[in-house]
Amino acid sequence: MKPPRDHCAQTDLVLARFLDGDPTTESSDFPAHLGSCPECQSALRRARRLDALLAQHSTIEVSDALGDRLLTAAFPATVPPTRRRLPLVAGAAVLLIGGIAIGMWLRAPTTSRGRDAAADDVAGRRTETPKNEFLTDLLPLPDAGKRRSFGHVTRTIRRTPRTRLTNATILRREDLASVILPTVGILQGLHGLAVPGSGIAAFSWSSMRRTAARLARDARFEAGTKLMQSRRTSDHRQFVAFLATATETPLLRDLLAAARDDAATVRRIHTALRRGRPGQEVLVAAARLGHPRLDAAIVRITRRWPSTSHAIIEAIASTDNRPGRVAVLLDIWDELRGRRALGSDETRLLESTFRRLPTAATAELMTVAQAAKRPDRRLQCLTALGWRRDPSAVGFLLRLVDSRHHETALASGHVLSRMPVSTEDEIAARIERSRRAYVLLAALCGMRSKLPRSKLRTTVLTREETAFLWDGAFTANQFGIACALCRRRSVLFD
Amino acid sequence: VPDNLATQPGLESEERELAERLDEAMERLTTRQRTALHLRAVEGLDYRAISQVLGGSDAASRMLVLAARRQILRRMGGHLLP
Repeated sequence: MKPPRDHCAQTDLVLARFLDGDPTTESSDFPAHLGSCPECQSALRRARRLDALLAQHSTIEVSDALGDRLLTAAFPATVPPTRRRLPLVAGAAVLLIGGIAIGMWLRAPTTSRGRDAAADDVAGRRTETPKNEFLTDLLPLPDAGKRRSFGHVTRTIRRTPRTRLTNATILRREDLASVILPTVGILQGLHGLAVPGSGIAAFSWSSMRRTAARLARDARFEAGTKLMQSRRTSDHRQFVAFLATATETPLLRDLLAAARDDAATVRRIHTALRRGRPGQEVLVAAARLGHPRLDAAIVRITRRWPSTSHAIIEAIASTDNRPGRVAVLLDIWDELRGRRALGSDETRLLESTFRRLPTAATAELMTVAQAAKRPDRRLQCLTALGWRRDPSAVGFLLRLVDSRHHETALASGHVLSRMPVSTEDEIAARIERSRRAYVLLAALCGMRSKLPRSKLRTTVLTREETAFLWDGAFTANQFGIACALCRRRSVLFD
Repeated sequence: VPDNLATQPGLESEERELAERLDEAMERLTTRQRTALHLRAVEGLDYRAISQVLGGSDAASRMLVLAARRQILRRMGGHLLP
């Protein structure tokens, strides 16, 4: 698209007047000019669009020196003159004071607040709000969480009476998370927004942002472990509810790991699982924990109450893939089949769950398939590998095609046919030395590779056979037919 | 008619393309121009504050922002037209 050219000599002045509110252009007759000049109208429209785009996408790196100058410019009256001479020392002092204050503030929950407050903390909510102590109470910054410009925040702080600011001791966790971090997220590298003398040290930017997030997480983790270790049934219930309902976050992972290592917690959950039909939250928490003792219990529960399987399978898929999770899913699958409760919904859920599991699940499936003594367990693993379509399994499947068991070989070939077509060369390279070359040919046809065409005597194939083979994407039964065709019509077997 | 026009793939890709063009255009500015434009247009600082941050006079900051805007408008051309 060719850019429209601005020939009008007044365009720059119009932009200055309407975008920047340039006072030197106030008395001019620009509104009238703008009304009659299409070039200036176009330039102004594009400049406004540009500003909107910048607000959404622009980021800049702010070095320490630039950040220091920015703070000096934002709070000229409050920055002591020595700051200019010793910016690093001043910056370090601000961080140190802030760090001490945050430390004091973080210690507060252990001394002054009870378990109820801890429960609120671990769930990420706070009920007690001391007045006139915190930034959100002092500054008119509504709509917490909304991104604000540096200019807006500094202007707001400057407008706020100093007497109110001096009352501010330290920011609350909520301030860090919902006001300051979104506010300053754009200025990477700046150490902090400080108003020396006012008592406010807002922590932010780059590494400080991570530190603040970590501090908040640590505090919630501490609150969570307090609930976990509490002997009160209501606390334990609250902890289990958190494990079951929290979204996947580093905090949840940390608390799951702590609970897994805590014998008392595992024992309490295990007991709850054995006491009749357990509630949804206990089931989900147990499934998320991934402890061998609890895994065995939830498989038993699936056997007894197949309808619980949905929640359990989804819970297993929602957390990180710990070793042994694949085996639990296979066991649940087995139980559902044994109880004739494996409908299309359950199969779809298992399929999507196996697809979602991280890469390590492929290796685990291959290990289980290799060690399986029962053919149906091996077939289960192969089906799951077919769902995952992970190319890292191709080598393993090629070896299984040559195994002694015909059924396993056919199933492996069928799984190969579902692999991405990018694996065709690896499969084709094996054809000449495979004892079941026809299975590999059928697998290549299944993935719609063109490579097997030279190996098949196409002149002998009927039109229907040709169409069938080239269409690919076989079901299990169709794959058997494709294997038979490839065996009869392949030049390899002449 | 879709409920949310913003979720239309065409619009998303157009927006992404515009953002990429903006990035390219911003990269071609000098560091001072880029910083001045960002501080003015995104962070809402006035020219006096920008001149204190970057050094120089208010007028020089104004010129930096104007030059940066002009360059980006030229580089992005008609892509910015609604």
